[in-house]
Amino acid sequence: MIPVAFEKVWIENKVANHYKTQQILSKLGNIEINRFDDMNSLIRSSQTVFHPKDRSRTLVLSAIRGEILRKCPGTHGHLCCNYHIINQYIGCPIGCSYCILQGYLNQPFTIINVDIESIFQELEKFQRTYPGKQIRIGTGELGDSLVYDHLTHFSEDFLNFFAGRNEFIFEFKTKTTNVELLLQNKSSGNIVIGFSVNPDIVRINEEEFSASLKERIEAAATLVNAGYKIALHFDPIVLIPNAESEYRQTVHFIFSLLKPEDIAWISLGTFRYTTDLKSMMEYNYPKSSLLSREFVLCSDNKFRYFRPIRTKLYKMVIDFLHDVNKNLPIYLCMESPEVWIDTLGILPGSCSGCSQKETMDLLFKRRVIVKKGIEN
Amino acid sequence: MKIHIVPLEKNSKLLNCPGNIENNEIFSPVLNELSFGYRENGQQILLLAHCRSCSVMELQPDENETIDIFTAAAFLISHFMNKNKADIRTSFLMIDTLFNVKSDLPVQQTVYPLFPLLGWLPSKKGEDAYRAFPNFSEKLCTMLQNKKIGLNEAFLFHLHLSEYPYNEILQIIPENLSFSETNYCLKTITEIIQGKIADCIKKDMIFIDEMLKKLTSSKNKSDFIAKLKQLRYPKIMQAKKCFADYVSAFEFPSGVSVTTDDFFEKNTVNMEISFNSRENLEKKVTQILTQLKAKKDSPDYFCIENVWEEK
Repeated sequence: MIPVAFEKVWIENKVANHYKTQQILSKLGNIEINRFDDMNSLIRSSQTVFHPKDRSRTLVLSAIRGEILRKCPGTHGHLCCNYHIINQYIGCPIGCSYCILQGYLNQPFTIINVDIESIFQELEKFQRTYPGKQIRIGTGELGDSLVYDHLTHFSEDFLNFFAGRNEFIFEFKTKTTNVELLLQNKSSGNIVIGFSVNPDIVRINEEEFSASLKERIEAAATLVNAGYKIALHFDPIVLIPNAESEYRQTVHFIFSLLKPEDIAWISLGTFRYTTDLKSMMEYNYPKSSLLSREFVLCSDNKFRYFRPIRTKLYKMVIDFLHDVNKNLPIYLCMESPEVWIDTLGILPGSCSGCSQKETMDLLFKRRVIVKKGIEN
Repeated sequence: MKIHIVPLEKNSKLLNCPGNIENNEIFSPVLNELSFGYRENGQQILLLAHCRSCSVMELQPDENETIDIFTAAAFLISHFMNKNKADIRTSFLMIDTLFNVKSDLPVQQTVYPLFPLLGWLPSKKGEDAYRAFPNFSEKLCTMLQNKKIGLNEAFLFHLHLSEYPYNEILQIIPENLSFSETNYCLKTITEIIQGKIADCIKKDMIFIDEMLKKLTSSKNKSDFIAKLKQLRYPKIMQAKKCFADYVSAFEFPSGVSVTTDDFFEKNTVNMEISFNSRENLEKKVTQILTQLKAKKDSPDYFCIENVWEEK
């Protein structure tokens, strides 16, 4: 199930007896186990690791550090969708050439923060502090939300916690089909399963261990039958040969198995990179051709396709989606106001009397709660 | 650990040296004058041999301490090798020597820590660069040796283009480019070739021949870099040229500049007018208006979308 098997585990002493630690260890079988006290010392004493595959050979079980519930930082000069993140998994074994984690992470191992009760305490605190405030949260920012779920069973914990707490919309974001535990449990209505989607040629060339598009969408269709809402993330949209035909087929295939009303939201984002990511990609994935296109440096210090190229890519995917249904809730991830206008023709907040932030929230609020009728 | 350097007894035999220390090319280039070797004498000892004087030194650990070859090598490098002066081949030979030393410990614990001391690439990347180094083309080695390019850039260039006869490409890079310009050229050439491969255009050498032909016709180094940019960023360069030509065709009065952001990310175009009196401003504005009116029937490239669409 795990694309790269763990060869070694480090356990932070303070979570050594945690029930989740014991549960995970019991599933890993015979494996070298070590203990540590201080994460920073452990990082300092470890070899530098470049390739995600090498980072995925060692597992660290620890307690969550720092701010637990964070607002997605967004980027300067680009519109943010007001997502909140919980860094429960740090590191991912799927091996996508474009993965931004290569440029972000400095630890040479995969971290699973086992103290899920700390997360729940933080969320309860948020509820008390901001009663009635609705937010979207996900665990898929620094790792895949489900790739290790068969080890951690965190999905069950989250489903139980969020049942009846309708001010939270929780998203599991994944490129896998590791949805068994979700299917064994009941959706509470405010749970969204987000699948990253791309033409299979992108998966073949750039995603070493992800599930195929067919597998992902079949898993999504099964989840819909079990009462879950689905999010689709066309991210990164990549400039590939025959892009038009490839993306048309992709959208067509997705909606041959899913209905527009099954979709909570659809995000679009073209491939972008930082200088750090570029240098990691050049070494880790020398066969990738993603970096060979025309990119420009944007105000957030990320490189994006030259504006006419990415506008064309966005318009293309949006047109295919609109051919399916004009009302699909589409938003752009980390894009400039100019590109929003060029592609979607609107800016959040520009026509409803609400602020940009409020309009974005409203988009998700109206959309996600559909079948269960929790809120209109 | 404290390490003492003491003269070695005359006629001491060097044991377990990887090769003959006196004539072996592995040792002779190190530091130009100092050779490097080791022997086992119950515990490990490092030897430093001064080739010219033939004096030999040995490192002795304190009593009851052991010193392994790798610790000794680290000592040697940090005390005797000025890493800024250690050339790339010396570093390679040193690493090569150490990779060939038998040890119960993994290389991650023995050789890897020495990479940064030798100005080599770190960790696994350093090992990969070491393994690739003997296959670098002659020209790539020369450029590296002459400090025209960095090891990282040389390694990545080789990694990406090892299936191509890239030596020929390197030959056309002007000699008078700076270090950063040469590195930039290597990276840009790699990306141009990868882009063509991605588009499945001309998998054979015809494309590279065409690129070489274009680049060799460069008049000077600035022209070479400009041609390279044109090949790498055709759409961006076209848009920039279109806008610049449009602005210069206006013949605005002096002290008037028209600019956009670097890459047309914004829709706005900025005009800056320098003036020193109301009258001066009025005169310039009138001239600007006259120029604008004269071109009212031509395409409007102050509308950024039109710049993109220009073929």
